[in-house]
Amino acid sequence: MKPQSSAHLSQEALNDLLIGLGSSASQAHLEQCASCREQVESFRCGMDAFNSASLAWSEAGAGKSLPRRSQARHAFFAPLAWTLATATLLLIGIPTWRHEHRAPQSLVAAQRVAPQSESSGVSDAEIAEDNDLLRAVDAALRTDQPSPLRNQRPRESHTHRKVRLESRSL
Amino acid sequence: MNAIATDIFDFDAKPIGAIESGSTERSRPISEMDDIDALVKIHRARLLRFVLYSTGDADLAETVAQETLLKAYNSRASFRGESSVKTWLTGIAINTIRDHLRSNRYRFWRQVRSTAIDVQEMSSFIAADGLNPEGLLLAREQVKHIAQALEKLSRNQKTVFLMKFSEEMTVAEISEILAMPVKTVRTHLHRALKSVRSQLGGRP
Repeated sequence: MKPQSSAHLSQEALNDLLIGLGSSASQAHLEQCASCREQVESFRCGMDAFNSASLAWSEAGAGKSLPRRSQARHAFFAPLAWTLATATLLLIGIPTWRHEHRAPQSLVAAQRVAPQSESSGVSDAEIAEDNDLLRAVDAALRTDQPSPLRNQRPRESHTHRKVRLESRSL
Repeated sequence: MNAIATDIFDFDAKPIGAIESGSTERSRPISEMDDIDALVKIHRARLLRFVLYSTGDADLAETVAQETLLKAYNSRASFRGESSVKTWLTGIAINTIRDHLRSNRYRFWRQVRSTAIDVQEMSSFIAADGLNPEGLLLAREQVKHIAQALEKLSRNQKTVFLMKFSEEMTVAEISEILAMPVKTVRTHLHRALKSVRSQLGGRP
């Protein structure tokens, strides 16, 4: 009886089978020998796993390379983008800064103007004068002296009478 | 000259000329070559993987994959459809790798050290569909072992191994693309298989 190891396919025969150059005798042995079949299957399963994983990894790498290209494009446009951003910042920032630093001056100016307008426009003397005038007018209106025209009926003119007659006839 | 010892990407090697003469495999529709987007979509990841594991350099793989696709698209008129697009592209990729090695030899080797493949990361990309946690773990271990075994192979062994077991080319196709005798291809494959299978825990 042959030893167990010699009953199996040699390494060269197994490799030939894997390469696709196996003899028909080797192929026949493989169909009957579970141990040799396991050797072949183990390699094929390992290669299947390796191929699928490495391809998936490469595809992921291929996906990463697109951003790389866009990164290159980004690198090209980056200085332009930064320049535009800086210009925008300056355009907005400088007027804002100036406005903010001018604001207290305007307030000071306004504060300077405000007392003048208050003192000239709403002085107590003028208010007193106005009140005196209003009181005088009021007193004049309350007087009992009748007006010369109070009891005198106005005379109707010819034109007024004519208009009244015409309106009646309608 | 010992053909096995000759590096496929040898600096003095002539460009592979057997690419366009093709193989026995019928090509894909010619229209695929007329659309750069389709070309990229169908072949980029596969090319990237091939170059990545052939050279061990992720950055170089990106460059070579892009150049290969661009060269293929620009010279699509010379593609007669006698071989598959995949085979044709692989041949162009091999020539492109050789060009890069010739021009950037030292820089390339520096890059190899700095941008080597992250085996741990790559093995995490395995699909968990239909696998229980134990099976997934086992598959990841197998992926790691194969990747580590590939790193130990010579460049020729690695390239031939990938062409056979990842690109699923026949020995005749590999022989034709690499302008290498079938016997030499077979020897490379045997040596590579021995190394990879032992790493996978195969029977000694």
